[in-house]
Amino acid sequence: MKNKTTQGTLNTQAILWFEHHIDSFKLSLNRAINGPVAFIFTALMIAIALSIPISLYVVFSSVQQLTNQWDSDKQITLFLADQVNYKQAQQLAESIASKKEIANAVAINKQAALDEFKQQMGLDSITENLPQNPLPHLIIANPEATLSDFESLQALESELRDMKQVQQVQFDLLWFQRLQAMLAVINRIQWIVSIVLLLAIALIIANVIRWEVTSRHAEIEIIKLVGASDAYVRRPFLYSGFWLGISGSVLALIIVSLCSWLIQQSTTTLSSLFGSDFQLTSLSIDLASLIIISASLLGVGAAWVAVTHKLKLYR
Amino acid sequence: MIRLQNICKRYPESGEILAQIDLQLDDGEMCFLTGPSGSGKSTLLKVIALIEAPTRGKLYFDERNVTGLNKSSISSFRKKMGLVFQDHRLLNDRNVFENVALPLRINGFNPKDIPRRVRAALDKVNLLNKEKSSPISLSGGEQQRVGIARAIVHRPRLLLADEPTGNLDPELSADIMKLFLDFNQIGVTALIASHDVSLITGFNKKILNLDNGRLVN
Repeated sequence: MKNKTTQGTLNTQAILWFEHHIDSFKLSLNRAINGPVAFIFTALMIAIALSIPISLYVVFSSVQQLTNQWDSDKQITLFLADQVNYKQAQQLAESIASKKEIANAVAINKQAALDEFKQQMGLDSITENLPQNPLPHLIIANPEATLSDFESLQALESELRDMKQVQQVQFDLLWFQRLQAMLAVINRIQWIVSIVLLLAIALIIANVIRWEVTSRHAEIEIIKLVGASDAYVRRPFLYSGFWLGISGSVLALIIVSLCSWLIQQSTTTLSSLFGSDFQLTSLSIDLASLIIISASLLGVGAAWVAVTHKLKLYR
Repeated sequence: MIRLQNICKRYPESGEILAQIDLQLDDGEMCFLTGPSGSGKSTLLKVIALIEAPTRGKLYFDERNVTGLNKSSISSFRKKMGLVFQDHRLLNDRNVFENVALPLRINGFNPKDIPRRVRAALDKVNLLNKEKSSPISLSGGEQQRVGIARAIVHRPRLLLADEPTGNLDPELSADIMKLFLDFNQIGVTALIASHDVSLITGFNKKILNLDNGRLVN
């Protein structure tokens, strides 16, 4: 019997706790609606601060997408030894193509190479005078697109160079290395800027909540005097932080989408002129939800710190 | 029920406000606390309500030492009390009903019981018809009665009132005091601070005289 009563009280307590959460949820929303100017200003401030790392992400991942395209263009040219004939070159190309690091490899006849060279350079008269074709047979190989780190590309290059039929390997690894290093720098900048701005957002929210607590001093005092616990007093403020975080992040996503739409209008023309299909990365639903959830949690966390600090003043 | 043992309260800026207060309040007793302004009446009530911690001395509630309670124990201790203030301390962004319901909501009363209890409390202070009004629209006496309804709605065992009639005319003051008397008759222990000696002498209850922070007979 006694157990049953305890169980009943526990259930009632849980229901009350849940109801106070709903009440706090409504109360904080009401406060936001009743003081719309202050709320909108703060949410916009958060949105602008948050839109900077998000746009950095959009730009960075678009550039990365572009360099991935360039990566897939990376081409290894193998100049074969003089004594290697075309048939052997074709066999070698086949065996190279069967390597797992290589996407495809084709042998190019030295006569065809010379013709192409003539055509491209317009050097007919000079090449006419050559006693024989100075070019060897070639193999042009493309590494797998998934092979993108410098070390494995370098390993592939030296493996090909070490083949006895190969005289020379032309592969612009240095350029690739520079690009990767540059991307790493941009990536680092992106992280630092994001962390600094997230900190700024947490401080904005904490400051607004502190101010809200101060302006509700009389109310908090009364509620404490009729027996409210700190958790009870804290709850509506946590929801205020939540509202700021969620509306700030939604506004930020709108700002970024709007900006990328505007920019997209001009990049389409630009990239079509360069024959590239460059496009700004659009934010996935997953990422957008992640941003909204994290910003809401950040809001709650910042509010918690601010209120808890302020509540030390009340007994 | 309440026992103060050698309570002292000293503020760094204003010196000793309470000195060696020994006081006992039995279950169901009603007591007036009087003295000139600045004699320490408010501070004494604040010490009993655990709003202020005493500099020295001990406070017992039902023979349990409550002097050094932590914050969460303080809030559950307050649930046993009803506090009435001179300046009412109502929340102006909520109506009368919600103001009175506040202790019930905070102290975890069953939501189904809340309207009944709030109306019973408002009925006792004769404000049943004002439950939807905003506190600002009420007169001083009415606001004070809302404050009293809020103090008694959760059936506290101890009622503490600090100058509850401070801003009211004599007739209203007498009405308010009679309300406290009514609550005392149904078993609530009450300690009421008032500087208005002529008002409280007529009630035939114990009167404690506070002068310069000391209890005098």
